[in-house]
Order: sequence, then C-alpha cells, then structure tokens
Amino acid sequence: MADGFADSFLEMSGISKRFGGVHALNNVSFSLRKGEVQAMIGENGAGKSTLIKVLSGAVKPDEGEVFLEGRQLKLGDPKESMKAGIRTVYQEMSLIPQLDVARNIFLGNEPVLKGAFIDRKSLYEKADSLLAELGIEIDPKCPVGKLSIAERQLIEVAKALSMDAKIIIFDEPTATLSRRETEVLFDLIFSLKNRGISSIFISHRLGEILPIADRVTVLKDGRVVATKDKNELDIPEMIRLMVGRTVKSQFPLHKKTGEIVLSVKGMSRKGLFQDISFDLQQGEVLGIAGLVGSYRTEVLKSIFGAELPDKGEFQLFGKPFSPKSPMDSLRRGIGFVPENRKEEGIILHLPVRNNIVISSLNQVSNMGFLRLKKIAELASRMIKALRISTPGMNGKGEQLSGGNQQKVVMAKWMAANTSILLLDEPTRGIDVGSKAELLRLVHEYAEQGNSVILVSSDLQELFSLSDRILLLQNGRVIGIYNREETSQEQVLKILMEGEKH
Amino acid sequence: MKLSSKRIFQNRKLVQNLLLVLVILGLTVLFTAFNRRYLSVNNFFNIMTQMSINLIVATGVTFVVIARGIDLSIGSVMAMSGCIAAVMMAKGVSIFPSICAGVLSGILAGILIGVLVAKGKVPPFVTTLGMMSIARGIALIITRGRVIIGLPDRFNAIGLGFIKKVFPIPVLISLVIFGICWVVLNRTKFGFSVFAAGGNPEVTRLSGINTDRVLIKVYTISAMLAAVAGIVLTARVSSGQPNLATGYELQAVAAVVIGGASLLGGEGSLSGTFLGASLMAMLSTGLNMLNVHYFYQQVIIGCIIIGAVLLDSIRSKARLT
Repeated sequence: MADGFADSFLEMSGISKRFGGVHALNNVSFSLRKGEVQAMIGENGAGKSTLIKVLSGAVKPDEGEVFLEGRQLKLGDPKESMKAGIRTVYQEMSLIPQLDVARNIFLGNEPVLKGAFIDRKSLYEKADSLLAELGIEIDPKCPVGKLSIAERQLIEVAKALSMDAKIIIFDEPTATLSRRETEVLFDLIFSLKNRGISSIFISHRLGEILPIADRVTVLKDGRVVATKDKNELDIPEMIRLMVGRTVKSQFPLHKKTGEIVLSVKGMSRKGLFQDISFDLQQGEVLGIAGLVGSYRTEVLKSIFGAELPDKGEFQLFGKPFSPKSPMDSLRRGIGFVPENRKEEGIILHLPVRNNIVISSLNQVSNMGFLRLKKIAELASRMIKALRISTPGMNGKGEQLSGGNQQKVVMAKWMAANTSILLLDEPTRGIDVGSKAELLRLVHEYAEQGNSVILVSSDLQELFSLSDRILLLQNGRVIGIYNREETSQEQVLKILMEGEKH
Repeated sequence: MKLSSKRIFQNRKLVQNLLLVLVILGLTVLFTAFNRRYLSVNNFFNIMTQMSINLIVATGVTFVVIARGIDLSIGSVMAMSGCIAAVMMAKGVSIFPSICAGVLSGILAGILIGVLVAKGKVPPFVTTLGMMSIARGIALIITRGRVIIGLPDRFNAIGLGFIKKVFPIPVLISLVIFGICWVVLNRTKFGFSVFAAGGNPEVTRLSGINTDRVLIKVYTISAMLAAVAGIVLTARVSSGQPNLATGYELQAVAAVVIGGASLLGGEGSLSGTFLGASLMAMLSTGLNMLNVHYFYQQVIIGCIIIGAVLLDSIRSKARLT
C-alpha cells in the first residue's frame, strides 16, 4: 500500500515534443518516488533539459501527461508547476546579486507587517533557522553578489525549500563546482531526502552519480534508454547506454600537408583557462571535446580575438601574431561560427544577402562604394554552393530554418576566403538532414586545404569529422589523441571520471 | 521587373512609404478644402522651406536611429553652431571661416558623443542629454545670453535667399545634403555597417566590422548636420540666438520614426524620413492656415510622435511573435 503510493509520486508518461524538425522528446516516460534521488544522464541533445523543462512548465509538450501525487498537472504553465511544489536549480542563477541572502530566499514571499511593510526581524529569523536546519553556514545578511557560485547554489536550494518544494531539479549543479563544494551540495541533497523531498539530478560527471543517486535514467536521442537501480550499474555500463551502438559513419581522414597553420602556446585567461597549447595543421579538422564548464567557447573566442587572452604565444603560418579583434582576425583569414546563432551569428531581420557579404565588404566595394552587382553575384554564388534554402537572397534571416541560418553563417566566412574556421557547436538545434549537410560542408572545406577547429558536445559528430581530438577539462588541455587511437567511449570515460584540478 | 501585388505587401518599407504618401495626399485634400490657397506653388515652396531645416537634422538622426541610438542634443548643437558663427561675424570675421567654425563645433560635439557611447558604453540617451545641456550652455556663454544682431546680408541670404527668384536656398541646401546622405547610407560600406550594427551589434562585431567606429561616425554625422542646420536657421532669423531651436530634436526624431525607422535599430530609410519631415511641415503649415493656435499645434505634434512610436512598438511585437 505504502509502496504503491510511493511509486506513483510523480509519473510522466508518453511525453513527446518536437522543435521544428527535431524530435527532442519521443514518447518518454519517467517516474520518481517520494524521497528519491534520481540521476538523469545522456549526451547533449539527448533531451534531458527538455524533459525537466516540461516538468517545470517552461516547455509545453505536444503529447503526454504528468501526475503528481495522483493529481494531473496542467502542462506548459510555470506557475502551475511552482504551485505543485516543483523547483529547478539552474546553472544560471536566478538570484539578485544586490540583495542579501535572506531577501533572496524570501523574494516575493516575504513575511509582512500590517500588509505592506516587510517584517525585517522575522525575515532574518526565518532565514537563520532555515539555513541552520540545512546546515548552510552563510550569513543571511551577506549580499548574494559576494558569494561563490557554490554558495549561491545552496541559497537557491534554501529558496526552493522556503516555498514548500516537493521535487527539486538540479540541472548540472556540479559543472562549475570544486570537489569540496560538490560534497557540501551532496550533503544537502541527502538531508532533503531525509525530509521526504525528491530530487532529480542531471550531471555529466558519472563518477559522482552513483554515490548519490537511488536510480539512474539514461536518455538518448529523445528516448529513455533505461531506468536502472544504482546497484545494477557501473560507469562503463552507463557510458555504453549513453553512447549506444553507434553507427560508424565517418568521413575519411583529411589530407594534411604537415604545414602548421596555427600554433597556440600557453594561452591563458585568469579564472577561465590555463596554458592551452596545440598546433593546427593545414587541411586538418581538430576537434575539441569538453563538458560544460571546460571553457570551450572562451578558448575559441580568445583565439578569434572576440575576447582577449591574458597571455600566450601565437603563430599564424609561422609568423607570430596576437589576437586583437574580430576585424583583425578576418584580415588574417580566420573565421568564427558562434554557438548562439541568433544572438551572435546572423542578423535576423536583415536580408540573407547582407548576412552573407557582411565580412566581404572590401571584395564587393570600390573606394568605399558598394557594387550592388558584385554583392548579388557573391550572395547567389554562396546560396547555390551551400544549397541554402531561402525565399531568395532578399529573404530575411528570420525566415530561414535553423539549419539554413547556420549555412548562411558558414557562407559568410567562406565568401570572405578564410583559411581557418573556428566552429562552436555548429549543429546545435539543427534537424538531422541539415546536420549531415553542414558536416559535409565542413569536410569539403578542409579537403580544399583549409583548417578547422571544431567544438562539439556531440561526440559522434566530433568523431566523424575530426582528425585529432583535444580533450579540455576545467580550462586545461588533458590530452590530444589521433582519431584512430581513441574511441567515443574512452573520451567520455576520461571526461566524466576526471579529477578536479 | 514586375512586382506582383503580393510582393509589394511583403516589402514593408514600400508599404509604409505608400501609406505615408496616401496620408500626405489626404491631408492636402483636407487642407485645400478649408483653404484654397493651400494648393499653390507659393505654398509648396513655403512648406519646402519650412521642412528644410528639419529635413537636414532628421537626415542625420536617421543614421543614429538605424544604428540603435538616439540624439537629443540636436536643438542645442544647432544653437551652439549658429551662435559661434554669429559671434564671430559680429566681431568682424568673414562669413566662410565663421560658418566653418560653427560646423566644426558640431563635428567635435558629435565625435565626443560617439566616443562616449562606443568606448565609454554610456547610454546614448544620457550622453546626448548631457550634450544637450553642454551645447546650450556654450551658446549662452559665448553670446552672454543676448541675441546677436547685425549679421551680414550675404550670410542671411543662406536662410532667406532664392535662386532664380523662386527656388529657396535652404531648400536647395537640404536637398543636396539629403541626396549625399542617401548615397552614403544606401551605397557605401559604411551605410551597410550602420544597418548591420543597428540590427545586431554583436553579430556585426564578430563579423569583423569595427562597430565602435560606426557609432562614432553616425553621431558625428548627426551633430555635423545639426550644426549646418543651425547655421541655416540662424541666417533665416538673421541673428544669433542662444535659445534657438529648442525642441528640434523632437521634431527630428518624430520625422524619422514616422518615416518607419525602428527605435530598436537596424530598420529605417531616408525616403521614409523625407516623407515624415514632409508630413510634419505640411501639418504645421496647414494648421497655421486654419488658424489653429501654435500651443495646440504642440499638443497635436506630441500626439503624433507618441502615436508613431506606439505603432513602432506594436509592429516590433508582431515581429517578435
């Protein structure tokens, strides 16, 4: 009887969600017991975030239903999920740095005195006792802005508990925490468990999952591969489930001339990455694998000059240089395809034509005056070459699908005759068909004697394209492997078991 | 190339301009119905002269608004430039160097605004509001708060003269400036960058364009044209007035926004600004002829400005969803 109730604490069944052509969730079922800690693992894009967003009401699924304590939950309504006691602790914090700890914990929920005034005395008393109960040693009067990321996370949890949470979702909480900070967080999760509060815990660090989780759910390509008791699992088994039996569709290794086009030595930025060194050969695709918090994006942006590294030695075709600005990099023949296509890659309400020629203005102008015919020629040549599907070159960026927008961003750099492209998650959020085409484009680009640095969370993609793979962890290079010498399983194992530095 | 009706409606800029032309025609019919004199060559040139000053400054503000900025210092920069020229001429300096000094003061003000906005990351609203006060202060200081009279006739002709006895000189100046700026905005690398930087500054920067330089240039253009307009207006009133052109920034922004530019940046056109400035000038001339008091005109113009921005925000909401 008691068991029956426990089993039906949270039931999600038949959840499906499509984004454009992508099946983010495909008939997913998920259950959570009262007081249980359940870990959710899977590669990026497996559907973990979408699933927890369905639960928190941020995403409305196309199909499926959710029952909490036998009561059906109205979906796609964050307020409804909040009322039901579901709280999410995100990586990006929702705390207000200027306010102190107590004010943050009770924000919008403050004890009031005679209707309008905040009862400060009772506010700090309540905060004190809540923090003490949870074993958090932080002064409730300290401004949140002065706390470390780890401490802020603890405050987030306290905030969730101040509002009668039944389920707390942790979205990769340990990605940026040190080992000791992680232990503090885990102690807190155990104490939640003892109070009968359930947790869903998303992590890429497989090593830390087993000690804390009761059960583990593995997602892959929007489906649940397995939900297993922790006794039935070990790390190799988890990796096997996550990677699955992958179809090996690889591009052949690229012909390399052996000439080193870009050499980076000891590149560092305080608080982010340290001592990054590698060589990039002509015709090579160098893949970078790393988890969230490895500062992959920052490494790429620093080479491109969009952000400036503190130190490091750089050589381009044997000549020393230092990254100054995107404008300078463009002149040197280096292009950058950013991760956030819509914020950093394409100007949504400008025509496709403008987006394609924006980095080639010198090519299509004469003494500062634009030559409209040349612009049209260049744009239509790129649209044809990359097979961009658009309502004409006057079509606006926002009218294109994600895959075609990304092709426009690639077209921009190819039109500018760059010889080195830095790609940051180039296929994120793109449907399968466009993805394959984009990868082929990158392959062909390298075949023509150009060089590529590819950052991707999708190991399959990384392995299908890269000649060598650089492993990045917490802002440090922990190894560079030739593709033939390693495997996806091995890379995942190294990254996920990795010790903190 | 034939445009099908569907394509015309997809082209927002064209639809907007057509709509403005319709409104202008409608107003013409309306005003003419009340007063036959409205539709005459004489009144046509009168309206053109009326709008010439606003057209010059609105042309500059168009660059700023497309680049996602705003310029509230227009009126004050006009006064500063006009007063500098007037004071110099009153002291016996000849006309050309005096005008150059006035325009130069505008260019310097523009560069200062641009550097503060681009490098110092001071919001344009605050920067130009500050400049509004600074430039007005300079105008008051150099004139000691008094009106400077006795400017040379040849100078006053810039604002009051005619070519071949019919074509007003201010109209000619405004049309020449408008033409040059149209080419700059629509046919140069710089103009391309203005649209890009206003549309999305980060994408533009990451595409290898120096967005700081673009911003400095647009504010310089805006303040320089304000300075030119200040000279023309000073000549028109034949005196250096420290309180010249108060509130002109509103007129200019109104013309730009009515012309279809988005205050969110990246959108706008000089043809739209031209129609916007025409509409404003027609309205004030027409209301004058109908004997609507100036005070009421202020209220009407204020409503039109808010209406135009409201329309813009409704449109952008529609764009986002």
